[in-house]
Amino acid sequence: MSTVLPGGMSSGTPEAKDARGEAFTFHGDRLVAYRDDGPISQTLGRLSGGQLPPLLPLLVAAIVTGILLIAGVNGQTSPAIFAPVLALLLAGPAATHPHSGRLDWLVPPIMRAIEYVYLATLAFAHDVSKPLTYAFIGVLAYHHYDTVYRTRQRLWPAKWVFRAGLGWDGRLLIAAVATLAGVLPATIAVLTVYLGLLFGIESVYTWTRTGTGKGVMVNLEDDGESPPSAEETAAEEAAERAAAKEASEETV
Amino acid sequence: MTLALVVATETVATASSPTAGLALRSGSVIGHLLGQLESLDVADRRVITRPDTAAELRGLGCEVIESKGLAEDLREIARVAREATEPILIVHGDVVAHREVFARLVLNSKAPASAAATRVKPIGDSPNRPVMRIRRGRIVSAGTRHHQVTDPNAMFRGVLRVGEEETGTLADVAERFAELADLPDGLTEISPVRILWQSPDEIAELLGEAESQDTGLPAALTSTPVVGDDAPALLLTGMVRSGVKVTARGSRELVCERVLDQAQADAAQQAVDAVDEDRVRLNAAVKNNDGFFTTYAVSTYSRFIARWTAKRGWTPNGVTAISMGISVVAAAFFATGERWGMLLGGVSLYFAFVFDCVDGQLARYSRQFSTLGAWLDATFDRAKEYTVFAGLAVGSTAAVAGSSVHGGDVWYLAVAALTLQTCRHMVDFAFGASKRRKAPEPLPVVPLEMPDDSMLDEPERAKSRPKGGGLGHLAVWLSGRSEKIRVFHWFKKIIVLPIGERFALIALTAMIFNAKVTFIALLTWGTIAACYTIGGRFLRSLTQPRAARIDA
Repeated sequence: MSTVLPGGMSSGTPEAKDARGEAFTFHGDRLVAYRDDGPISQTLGRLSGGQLPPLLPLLVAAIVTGILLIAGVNGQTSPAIFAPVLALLLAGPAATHPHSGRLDWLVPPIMRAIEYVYLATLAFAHDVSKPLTYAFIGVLAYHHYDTVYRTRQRLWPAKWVFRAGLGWDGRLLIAAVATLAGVLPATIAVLTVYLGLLFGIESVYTWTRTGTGKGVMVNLEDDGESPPSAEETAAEEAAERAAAKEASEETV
Repeated sequence: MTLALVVATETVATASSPTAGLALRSGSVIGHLLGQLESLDVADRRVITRPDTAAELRGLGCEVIESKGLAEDLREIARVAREATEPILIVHGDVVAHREVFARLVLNSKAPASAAATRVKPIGDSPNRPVMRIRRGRIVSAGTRHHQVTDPNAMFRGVLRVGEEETGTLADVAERFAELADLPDGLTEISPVRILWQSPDEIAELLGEAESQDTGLPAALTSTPVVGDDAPALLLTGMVRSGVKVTARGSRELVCERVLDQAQADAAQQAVDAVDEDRVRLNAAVKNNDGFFTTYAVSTYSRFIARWTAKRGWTPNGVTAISMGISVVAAAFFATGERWGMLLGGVSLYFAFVFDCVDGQLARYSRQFSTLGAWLDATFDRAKEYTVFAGLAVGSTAAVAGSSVHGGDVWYLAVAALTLQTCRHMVDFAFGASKRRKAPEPLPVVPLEMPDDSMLDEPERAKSRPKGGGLGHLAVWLSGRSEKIRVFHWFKKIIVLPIGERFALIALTAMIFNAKVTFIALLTWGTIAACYTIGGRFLRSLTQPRAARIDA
C-alpha cells in the first residue's frame, strides 16, 4: 500500500530500527493522518522538513491554549483569540514528522482535546446555540473517528478531504477570526453544515462503494475498547499459556 | 471456492479394504466426508486411491485418481496444485470430523496455510499420529515417519489447507518428496520424537493432568497406528520447512480424527454425536475478550437472539440498524424530560446495547463479514452514544423546574462528555497505531530430506520474569501478573469504562436521577479511566525501543 498522505508523506508501514539495530514496524503514517492537519500546518511541516518532534511543542501549545482560555474568552478581543496562532506555530511544523517517538501516540488525543475544548469554550462564551455547538463538535468527531476506521480498513481518505476539511488549524483560526469580527454564531452554523455535508457524504459514498465486498474480518472496535494493559501486557505470555492450557480455542 | 484432494490410500490393517470405506451410521466414512465438503461449496473434489481399492470408491460420484504408491500420490497432488487457482484442502479419506472443523478451514481461514491439530501433552516415544510442535499458533516443526520433531506438543489430524498464494509451494514440495520417495534411501525412517527440554519427570508429572483433562478425544480414537503412506503429513512437513507460515487450527470440543478400524469409526461416531455442534459454533461467536457488563449481563443470552436472527436470515447490518433505531427511541424518551421517559429510555438503551452485541455475534455465527458491516457497527456505536447524550441534554432543559428530572442546562456537560470520550478513544487508536511490532523475520527453510528438525526454531526453556529493568518493565510485569487473578482481571476491565459499562451507567443514572448526574458520572469515571489508561501506556511506552532511524 502506498498512498500519499496529507502531509505529503508517503504512507505504508514504515520500517525503523531501534538502538540495538532490531527492525520493527509501526503505523506512524496513521498517527500523522489522525492529526488532521490543514493546508497551513502542512505548509509549515514542509518548511520544517519533518525535523521537529511533535510531542513537546504540542504539550506547550495545550498549556498555552488552556491558560489563554482561562485568562478570558468573553470579549471580542480576549486573549484566547491568539491561541490558534500560537498552537499553529508550535504544532504545525511537526506535521511531516514520522511520529516515531515512543510517546508520540499522545499527539492525536492532545490535538483533539485542544481543538474541541477551544471551539466549544469559544462558542459557549459567544452565545452560539448550545445544541448547535454540540452538533458542531459531533461533526468533527465523526470525521476523526471515520479517519481512524478507514485507515484500519486501508481506505485512506483522499488528500483533498483533509484540505477541504480545513484541518484543526484552519478551523481554530476561522473561529478566532469570526470571534474578532463578531460573527461566531453564524460561522459555526455555516461550518457545521459545510463540514457535516462534506465529511458525511464523502464518507458514506466511499464506504458504500468499497464496502459491499467481503471485508477482512476485523473488529474496528478492538483497540477502542480494550483495557490499557490487559492483553497487551502479556500478550505473548498469555498466548503461550492459553495455547498450552487448552486447545479449545479457535486457533490453537 | 476450494478444491479438495481426498487421500484414501490407507487400508485397514487386518484386511485390504480402504479405511475410507469403514462404516458410519449414515454410510461410509468417505461418503460422509465428501458430503460435508459438498455442503461447504467445495465443488471440485478428487479422491486419490490405490488401484485395488478404486472400484469400491468409484460409486461416490467424484473423480477418482488411481495411484500405485507414495511417489505417484505426490505427483498427482503436484499436478493438481500446479494448475490450481483456488485454495486446496488436502484431507485423509478416513477423517471423521464435525462439519464445523471443515467450515472453519474452508470459510474462515486466511492464513497462507493451516492444518487441523490438537494439543496433546505429553506425547510418548511412539505416537500413533504424526506429531508437531506449535508455538503461538504457528506450526514450528511437523513430523512424519521420516521427520523427527523436538519436544512435540500436538498431533496432526489429517487435514491441511493451503491458500491459493501457496499452491505453487505445495506443488514444489510434492514434487521434491516424490523424487525422494523414488530414491532407495531418499526418505529414511527415524524415531518421531526427540526430547530436548521435556524431561521424563516433567512428562510423568504432566501425564496425570493431561489424562484427566483430555476429555475431547477418547483414547480408543488414536489407539491404532497409521501404517500406510502419509502424503498429507509429508506435505505439511514440507510446507513448514519451506518457510510458509502454517497455523494450527483445532478445537478441544470438536472432533477431527482419522479412523483406521471399525472400532475407531464407531468411537468417532459416538464422539461426534456427543457434541452439540451448533452450540459450539454459537459459543465461538461470542467474543471472549468483552467487558464485565457485556459478558455477564448481555452475552449470556444475546447469542440465542443471534441464532434466532440467523435462522430468520437477518443480516448483521439489519441488526445494527435495529440497534441504532432503538437508541434513537431511547434518546427520544430521554428528551421528554419526564420520569416515565427516563425509565423507558434507560430500558431502551439497554436493549439497544443488547442488539449491538447481537450484530457481531450474528456476523461471526453466520460468517457474514463485510467491510461495510464493520464500519456501520463501529460508526453507529458512536452515533448511538452521542445521540443519547443529545436526548438527555434536551430532556434536562425541557423538564419542569424543580422536578427530579430537571438538571438545568447541561449542554456544556454533554459537549464535555463527548470530548472526553472521543479523546479517550483517540488514545486507544493512536496507541494501537504506534505499537511497535517486530518486523516479521523470514521463517527458516530446511531441506526436506533432513530427518531431524534442529535447523528449525528450537524450543525454548520456560522463561523467568521480569526481564529488563526500570519502572516501565516493572509495570508491564505487574500488569501481566495481576491478569492471572480473576478479581484484578475484571477490575482492570471495568476501570477503563468500556462500552457496556458506559451504556449501563447512562441507563441507570438516567433512570434513577437525571441527565446532570449522568454526565457528571460519565465525566468522573471517564477521567479516572483516562488517567489509568494513559498512565499505564506511558509506562509501557518506556519499555519500547527508541527509534534510531526511520525509513518511511
